[in-house]
Amino acid sequence: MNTNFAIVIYRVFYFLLHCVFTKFETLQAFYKSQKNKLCHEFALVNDKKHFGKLGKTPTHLTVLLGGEEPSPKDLANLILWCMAAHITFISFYDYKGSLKKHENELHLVVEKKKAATDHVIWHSHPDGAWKNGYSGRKIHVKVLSENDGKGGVVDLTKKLARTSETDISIESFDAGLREQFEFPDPELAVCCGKTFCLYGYPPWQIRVTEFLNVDSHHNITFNHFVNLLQIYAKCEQRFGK
Amino acid sequence: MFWILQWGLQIIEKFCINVIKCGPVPKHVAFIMDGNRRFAVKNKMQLSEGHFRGFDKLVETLQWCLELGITEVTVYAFSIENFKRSEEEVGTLMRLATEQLQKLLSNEVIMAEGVRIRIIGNLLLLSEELQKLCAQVVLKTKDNDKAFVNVAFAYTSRDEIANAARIIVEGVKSGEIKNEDVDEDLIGNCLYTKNGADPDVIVRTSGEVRFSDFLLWQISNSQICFIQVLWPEFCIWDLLVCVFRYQRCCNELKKRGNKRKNKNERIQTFLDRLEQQRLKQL
Repeated sequence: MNTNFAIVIYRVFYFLLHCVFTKFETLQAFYKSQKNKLCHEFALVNDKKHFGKLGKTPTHLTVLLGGEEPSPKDLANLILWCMAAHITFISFYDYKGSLKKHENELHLVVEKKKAATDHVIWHSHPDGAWKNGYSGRKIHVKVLSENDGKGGVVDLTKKLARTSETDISIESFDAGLREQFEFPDPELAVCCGKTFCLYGYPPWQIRVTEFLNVDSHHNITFNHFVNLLQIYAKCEQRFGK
Repeated sequence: MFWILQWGLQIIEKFCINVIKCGPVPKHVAFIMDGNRRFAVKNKMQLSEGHFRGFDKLVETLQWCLELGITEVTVYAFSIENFKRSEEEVGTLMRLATEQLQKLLSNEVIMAEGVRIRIIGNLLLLSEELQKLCAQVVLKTKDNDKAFVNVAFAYTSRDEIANAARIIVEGVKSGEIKNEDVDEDLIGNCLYTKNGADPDVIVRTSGEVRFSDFLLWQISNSQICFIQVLWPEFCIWDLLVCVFRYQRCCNELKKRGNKRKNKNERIQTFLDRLEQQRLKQL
């Protein structure tokens, strides 16, 4: 009798705990959305003023959309801000595959927002292959989906099984995957959504990637973006030592 | 006065543990136990003392996990990259491992509680004495099935994945399996962690926000918890917060649940042969 009573009490508290937290999350989201409405967005930013003080910036920044639906205008902002911060590669990972399906929409929004001298190199287009000789800012963009993750490792393994290759070392495997992935390993990953999870992101490439979590990429502000880069700049890597 | 507070705190702890247990609890949690050296520096101790405290914290954490109903725990004890550290520090860590493994062999509680210990990693990189001890502990506990502790020692995820690929390529070349049998499940079954489930939650302490080559393949669907505290300062409340966060989003994670496909006979025979080989090696 006593134990049953105790179980009921625990369940009541459990229920209350999650209810209170849900209410808290709703209020927090509302407050944030009101705050964001007061900030103005700039698609074209002054590079030196905002990014001059950062010690280091990533060469490749990757954005994991998580469970969120892609918002082309915000993703376009991220592309342009990365270009301003001299980040050479940006990739988007959408495990559901909807971004890959609607990539053209993203192309259009970016073309509208960017300056004439900016060059955005889309790696999903077979003829988006890079040419040299650009002046002005440039950035490489790639949209990843679940097949690029573990599927990539499977494909490489199958390929190696078909060759007469007997030496499979970490280095040779890495070289093979690098050829497939095209981009260098991401140094910084931004995970969107309340659930902090990889959702099947390519496992090999994230060995020493720094992971930061944002509530949502929808209406993400420029200040928030700079803040993420500042956090990254402070990370100290020891590489096992 | 002090002990009343302690007693009061214990009651509150017990209460909160029971409340959290009303909801879903992760079956498998992975820990990157980071921060021992910074703890030692912060408290002006020897580095080795930091590692000893870290080990004590591990034992404590395992007890909390069992209490909460977390039946499998994987910990990152020593990375292949850590061999780059000073000879003195590597020596200390190897000695610590040797001592603790010897203690485990004579520890009756492990057998009584049904704890199975698996050691994952490239054990050939260790000294022969340590390899023997690891094998003894693994063999002694191999029939236990109430709780599972996986210790990653001389481990990196890339080494594990490349090793699995090597095994599979050899299998295809020798005709045991066909190229079309190669898929994600097969790779998963050739990793060091093949006998366990993937972690539901991965925790890293000390405020770092990266995985440092740990279980990269296995954490595709795991809830990520990065915690600020240093590992020797990790407490039950930190663990409860991780479980609470898991409860908030486990429904979303389950939506992506991996279905293990049925293996065909060829694959099964291949995997069985690998398992036999591994046991023989031990």
